[in-house]
Amino acid sequence: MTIIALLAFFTPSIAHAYIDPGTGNAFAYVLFSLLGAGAHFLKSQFYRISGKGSGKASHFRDQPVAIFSEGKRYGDTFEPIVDALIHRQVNFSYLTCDIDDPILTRDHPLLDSKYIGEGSQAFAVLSSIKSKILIATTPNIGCNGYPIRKPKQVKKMAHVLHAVGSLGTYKKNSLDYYDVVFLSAPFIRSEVQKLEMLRNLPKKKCIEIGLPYFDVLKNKANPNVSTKDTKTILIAPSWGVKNLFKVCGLEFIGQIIENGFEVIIRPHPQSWISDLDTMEAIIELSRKHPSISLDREVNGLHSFQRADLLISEKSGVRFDFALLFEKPVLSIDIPLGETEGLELSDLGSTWDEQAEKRIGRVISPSQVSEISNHINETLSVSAHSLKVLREEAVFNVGHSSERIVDWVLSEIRELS
Amino acid sequence: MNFLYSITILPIETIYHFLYLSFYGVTQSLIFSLILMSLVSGIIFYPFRLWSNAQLQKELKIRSILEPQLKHIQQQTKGAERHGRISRLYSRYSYHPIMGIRSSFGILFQVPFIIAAYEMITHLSLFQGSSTWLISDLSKPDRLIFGFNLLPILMTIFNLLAVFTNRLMQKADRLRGIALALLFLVFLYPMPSALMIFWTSNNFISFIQNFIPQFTIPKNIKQKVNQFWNLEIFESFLVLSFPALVTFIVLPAHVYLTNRIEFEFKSEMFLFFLVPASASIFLSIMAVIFLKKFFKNHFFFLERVSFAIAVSLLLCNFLLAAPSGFLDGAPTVSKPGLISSLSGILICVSVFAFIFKNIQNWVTWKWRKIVPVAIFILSFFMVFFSVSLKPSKIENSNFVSTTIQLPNLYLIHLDAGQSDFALKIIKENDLEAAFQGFKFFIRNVSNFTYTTESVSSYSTGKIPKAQTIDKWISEIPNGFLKNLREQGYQLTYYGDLPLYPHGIFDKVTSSQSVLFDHVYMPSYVQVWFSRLLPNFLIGKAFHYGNKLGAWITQAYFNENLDRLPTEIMEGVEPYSGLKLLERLVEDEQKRPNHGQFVHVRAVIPHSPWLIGPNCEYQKGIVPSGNAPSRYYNQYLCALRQVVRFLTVTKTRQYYDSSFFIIMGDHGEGWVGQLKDLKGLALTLDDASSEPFDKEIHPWSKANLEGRFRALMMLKGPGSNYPFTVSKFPSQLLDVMPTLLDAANLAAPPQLEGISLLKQNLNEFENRKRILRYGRPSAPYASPLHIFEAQFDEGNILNINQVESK
Repeated sequence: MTIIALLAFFTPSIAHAYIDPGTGNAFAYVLFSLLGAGAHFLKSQFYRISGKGSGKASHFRDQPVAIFSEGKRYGDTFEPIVDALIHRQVNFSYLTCDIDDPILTRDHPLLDSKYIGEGSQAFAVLSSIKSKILIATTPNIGCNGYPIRKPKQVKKMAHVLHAVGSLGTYKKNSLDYYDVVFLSAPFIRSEVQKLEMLRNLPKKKCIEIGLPYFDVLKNKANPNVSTKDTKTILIAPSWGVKNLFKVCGLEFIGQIIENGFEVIIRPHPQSWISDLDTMEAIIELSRKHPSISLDREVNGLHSFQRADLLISEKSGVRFDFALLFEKPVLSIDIPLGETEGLELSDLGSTWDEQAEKRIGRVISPSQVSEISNHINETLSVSAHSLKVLREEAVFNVGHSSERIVDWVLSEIRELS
Repeated sequence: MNFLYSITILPIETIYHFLYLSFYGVTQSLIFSLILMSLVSGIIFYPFRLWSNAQLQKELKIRSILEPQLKHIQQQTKGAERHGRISRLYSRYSYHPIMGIRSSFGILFQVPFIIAAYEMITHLSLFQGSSTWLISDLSKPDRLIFGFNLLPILMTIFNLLAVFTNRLMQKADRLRGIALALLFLVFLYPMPSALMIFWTSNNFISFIQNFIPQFTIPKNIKQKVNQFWNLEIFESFLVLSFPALVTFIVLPAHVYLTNRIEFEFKSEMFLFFLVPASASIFLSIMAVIFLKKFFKNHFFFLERVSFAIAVSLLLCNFLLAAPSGFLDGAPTVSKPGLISSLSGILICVSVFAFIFKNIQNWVTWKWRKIVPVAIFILSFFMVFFSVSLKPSKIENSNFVSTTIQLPNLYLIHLDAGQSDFALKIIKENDLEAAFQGFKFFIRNVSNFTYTTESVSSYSTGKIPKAQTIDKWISEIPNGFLKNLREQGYQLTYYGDLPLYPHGIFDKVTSSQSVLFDHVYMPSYVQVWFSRLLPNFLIGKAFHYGNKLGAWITQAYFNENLDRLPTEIMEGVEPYSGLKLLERLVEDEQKRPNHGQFVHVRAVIPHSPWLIGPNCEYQKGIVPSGNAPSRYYNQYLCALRQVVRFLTVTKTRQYYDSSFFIIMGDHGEGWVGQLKDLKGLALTLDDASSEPFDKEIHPWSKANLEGRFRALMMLKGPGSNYPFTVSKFPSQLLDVMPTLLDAANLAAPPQLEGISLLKQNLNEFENRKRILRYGRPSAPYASPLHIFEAQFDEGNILNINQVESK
């Protein structure tokens, strides 16, 4: 049947042009797509005329509240917010640049979710929305030289923080065009105000919210202290030229094993692309030593659960480990490098610098040669002190999404 | 459709044409050049294939996400609810079933290229009769296995291999691929072997591409390229050398390539421009270093000026080019149009305004680098094409005797030879005896008013149905030249070459060869120079451009031009026409007396009229007298040369047995019509209708009537009656049937004219003839501008617009 259809399709022009099998298949795709589209259109018209409807048309641009997500990696931040909005009967749209975003699979009358493509296509759709409130994690929206413009019709653009710690590691001007910041902790308010003063910016509304992703992880995390005799050390470095392995080498891992520790190495996903030589050496090392295991899972919770101590440079994951699992961290003080492009350069000292000393020990790369001693010292940090720190570092633990919806509902009332 | 063809297929076809002929110029192998062309196509298409594959992957990805959800919906619901949920699902993923087309765009994009290659290969006269390796004629099927065609089978094998090795194809795709491969075997089986070589090679490349792993550039190389690409000095060099590139490579190469046949492929004329080009590029480097150091504050301002000048030059030349690309002299007598000048100014002002006002951040504006780089690449190809395009066949310089005993045939085309003037000249100068046996058709008309159209129609015996003049010109080799060759005639040509592909004639004497080697260099420089200056200065540009060109010719090519015309206005064309006729006389002394076809196309008595009645010429001196009298004198010179030539054939005693046509391609027009032929005046009743008043030249009605009045006189073999004037309504379309008749060949049935050697000509006294006037570049399939000529009962020529045809 297909062949007959194709014969009929190609015959009129065959004397004039030639197509190879690849091109022929392209024509076939066109033909089948047209047939499929035609059938879908006819069905829609039939149901429309017969009064049975064809499902609610999407009005994602016109919903009072919109959430913009760069992709499923922000799932832990947005899923609790989506759940809370649905729970409180709020109509909203959810725009994502990631076709694999699991929220897209949800079919709910209150949720108008939409895959808006990638890159400039997505940004164009985003800038065309008419929602009064936009919630996003994306920094620098509206900044000069950045591709995402602030949608003109949006009255309140609110930023959700998605890591424990200071704004220092954000790129400069990240939040300058936001109207609202959902504060994760009290120190963020002073950082926001400091930047506003420095840049003579209009005052932002700062709402004490907390961290939705932190709530999700908190539910999954089990902070029970390990009772086993052998302690497990998790090494989770960042990637690139400033990563722990590049700066300190791999010898210190041997020293850790020799002192009777088990080791989990969890390289940054980007290292498998950018630091291949180091990764090869790590694989070799893990083959030689059974007490070294390699973690390539997307989700690090399992390793966090197993580990008794984390070794890392100045990354945000240290605070997640310490505050969620109440276990200490040994930080290696590898400078961030050029900070001119970061908010850090305007903020000066940050909360992170004091907090890293409270979650464990901070040593310089030259002190890595005596790492076993530092590990033993760090392991003595008490879980209680970490609990106390958590209260200082995160607002409303377990309830952040509800607070967001509270604010959304009050804003809707105010704006309407 | 014509317009669509012109903007889609034709440009690609032209690029293929240049590419193929360039490869042929380098390799001198018809087959290898086809393979190279196919390889280049494969390389060009490779990114599109990758893009297409990426689109296909996207489509497969979204389908893999949707399918389980669709299945779930189908299991749980039915009817309107199911349709509603499916619609919402599609909406969430911004998907629609019609989007399956996306994955095909990359491949469908190739279709115009495929059609263009098909058109180019099937129209390239080079393949006709060309045997190479085992194939006896590349324009026909190969017949390599006991009369069966091997190439289509080979193509199908590679086609099937490509299907089976394509990892992206699923089972259904493969089945379709196999069906298509077999289908194409059937349809393409009788195609020309040149075409089959190209496609077999394409399929082979596509088969090989299936084995090429996804190639990624190593990161360190990428970084180094990026570093270089972002070097400030490199960026500035690109921008500052941009105008030099346009001035000394793009524009001269464009003029050279469009006139390459007329220039007889003397690429050294273009190569001269590489001297100032290299110097300017070197100066640009120096300027970057110097200006960056001493004029740091104004440097980017200079960059913007440089960029704007280059872009303005490009746009003005390619959007508003003065009609000077073809060196026919027309622009030199036309005044620059006000609209063109104003449009030119508007383009320049817009470009400068855009560059200075619209682009806030000049340094980071990406087109600042991309445009000059694109022009660098274009320049590279233009240089490559200019250097490598060569004539496909070098004509023999000796006469070859043939075994056939048919009489010699002579077709002498005197450009702009008007019939009324010719008759007056013959009568007033006692030339009638010299033309013994000739019949003079005083009521003859040209079917067109320009040479290109006239030559194309009388050579093919047809009014064109082709969409473009280029296509029509490409049909010329299939006209009487083909029939005469098949009959066994040796073909000799005297004249300019643009209308004839190389390889048609056995012996060629070009206009340049009878003057000096680089006779067109002054005109070439002249046209190039005129393109650099604004439209309203075109007159000055022509004047000074020619002087510059003459100086370059003397200094660079060491050729003495003191006494020779070097530009159109100095009469280089009629002068070369005269020299061609003199060469004809000279050659006739040694020409075999049978089996020769001699085609002369001399641009005389064409304007400017600077040659005297005895063929005297003085550079820079315009003879006295009004236009008609100077035309008369130049025409007399031409006819005297023709008489000298006829005398040689008489002396060598084959005048009687030979066949001669002496004709004009159209009348002169500018000199009006002669009053003393009032009874035979040509009138155009509908001359005020379009496109009459929109002609490129400001024709008056009398001009146009004269323009149609083309010379036609002929002598058949054995004719020995006195010079006779016939009032039979002949037309130039009669040339081909008459020639074939003289060569003892049957005329193909589709010819629109009749043989003037017929015994029963009086039966055609009331025939209708076709006249067409319009812009030279107008589409020829257009039915609007066809007029028909007919005689009324009183023998007065009267042309009415009878019907559209």
